[in-house]
Amino acid sequence: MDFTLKIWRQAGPKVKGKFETYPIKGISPDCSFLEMIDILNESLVAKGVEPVCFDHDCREGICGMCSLYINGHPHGPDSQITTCQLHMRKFQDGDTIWIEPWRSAAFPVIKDLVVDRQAFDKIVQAGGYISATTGGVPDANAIPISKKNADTAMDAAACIGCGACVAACKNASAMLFVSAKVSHFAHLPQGKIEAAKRVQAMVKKMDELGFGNCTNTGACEAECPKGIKISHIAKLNREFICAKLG
Amino acid sequence: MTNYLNYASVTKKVTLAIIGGFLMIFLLLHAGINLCMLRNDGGEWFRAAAHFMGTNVIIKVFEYILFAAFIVHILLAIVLQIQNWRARGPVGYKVPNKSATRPASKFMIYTGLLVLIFLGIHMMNFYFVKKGLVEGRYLVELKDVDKIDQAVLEQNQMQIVALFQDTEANPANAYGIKPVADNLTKDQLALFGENFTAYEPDFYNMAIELFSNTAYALIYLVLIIALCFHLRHAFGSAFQTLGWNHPKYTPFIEGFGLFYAILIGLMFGIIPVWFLLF
Ligand code: HEM
Ligand code: SF4
Ligand code: FES
Repeated sequence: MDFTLKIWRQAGPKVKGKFETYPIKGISPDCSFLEMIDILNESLVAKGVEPVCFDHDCREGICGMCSLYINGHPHGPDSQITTCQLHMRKFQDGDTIWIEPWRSAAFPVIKDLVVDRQAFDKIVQAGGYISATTGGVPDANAIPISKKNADTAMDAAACIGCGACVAACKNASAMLFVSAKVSHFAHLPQGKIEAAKRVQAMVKKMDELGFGNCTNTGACEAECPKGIKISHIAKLNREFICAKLG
Repeated sequence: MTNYLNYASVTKKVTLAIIGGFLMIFLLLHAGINLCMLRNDGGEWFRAAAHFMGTNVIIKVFEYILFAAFIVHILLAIVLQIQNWRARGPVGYKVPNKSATRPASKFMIYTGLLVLIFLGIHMMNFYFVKKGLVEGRYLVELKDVDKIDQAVLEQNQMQIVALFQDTEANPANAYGIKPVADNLTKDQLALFGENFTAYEPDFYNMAIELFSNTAYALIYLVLIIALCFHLRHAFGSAFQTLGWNHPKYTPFIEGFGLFYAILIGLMFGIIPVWFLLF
């Protein structure tokens, strides 16, 4: 398959960037999107051109490191999939593919397609944990949890912190990410203890870092590779209202 | 306001949603009153409703709450929107976002601003008349005639009686006297004397005059459609903001939001359409 790639190139955080055009030929339909960029980079290196920087790690859809805003979709056109799990067969031969970094005031570009997502770490540091002393491994069923709550908490825990929700949102809001963390803990007895403090601290940090305000557009839910639902955002709102009311 | 800017995003959103809910109830009431216009009774029902709305004490208190609600809703919405624009960062996307979103959610600020324009026009045409800031048409009820100054009454008696004369042949009214003198200009109102305050704005005739203007009716209609789109997203969104999301009830709420938006659109929109057609 042949493609025309339009890739955002930016030498550093403070430098002005621009789109570069790279034609690429003979790509297998079974090639993953990141492998396709690897192939491009090899050819760029051969030509003595600086390769395109992009984030990746596990390449199996579990770490949340890969990103890329592809043709207007974070993680590309396929649903519930990370960029590393996206395959070139999802495109048409001859397509022009626009590749941009996540755009958010809170995720500044470091280089090319790589953005700094430490803002998410800061939100988690503000309250996305439980204060428990670690000890021996506890018995799995020592604390009874209803099936419904266990399932909901598990769904929320699937968030890999990739930031696609922020990238997709017209408000660059981090509510889906934050709500996944809040909801995950709030559905479990261990997390309930600090629930009121947690939700307020995490929302405060999120606002401070310059993420936008959620207007319930649902773009995040549509693009989340892990299928996190905006019902978790409603849960966050409930937790927040209850925390404020006492 | 600077302090308010520091409130948590969720606090602002919850405030916006509660106020929005209040405004949505108000819209239903207002639309209901407007519909009285279409009753073929020479404006009797509409006038009674407008009279009640203009004089009832509870409604007067409600009016201040309503004003505050609109102002806070609009200011909050604009603050949130500016923060949201800034949150995208220094460089935006080249390719516009193609994510599937809830209908009408992407242009709330624009539909909101159109509603704001509508509110401006509406205030100029009606509310400011009531406040005496803009000249309009007025009405005086027959029963209030004895509130006219004796001297003035003696001087202008003939002209005042003429104002109450039923010019359209009305067989049910043998004396040809109407219970209200309506559609009075400011000059005609002056006949009742300087100290006469028992008049009311004649919203019925003012509305008829405005709607008889095709351009006005069309603009009104377009702005009402903008309101419909605003409400389409707003209804369900407010529930979500308040944390009411449930696998069983949310689809119903969303459906009801669509129904509500269309209902409001029809209730308000039918009036200009009526005037355009008949
Ligand atoms: C009769 C008039 C109006 C009603 C009934 C109404 C109702 C609502 C409701 C219920 C919401 C949803 C709140 C939430 O999800 O938390 C909302 C949001 C909003 N409104 Fe209004 N509104 C009206 C007028 C206006 C005006 C005049 C503006 C002008 C700036 C405006 C701008 C907005 C914005 C920007 C939002 C936020 C978008 C969002 O949450 O999705 N609204 N409105
Ligand atoms: S909620 Fe979904 S899109 Fe957002 S960070 Fe988590 S996995 Fe990524
Ligand atoms: S590289 Fe780990 S999720 Fe894509």
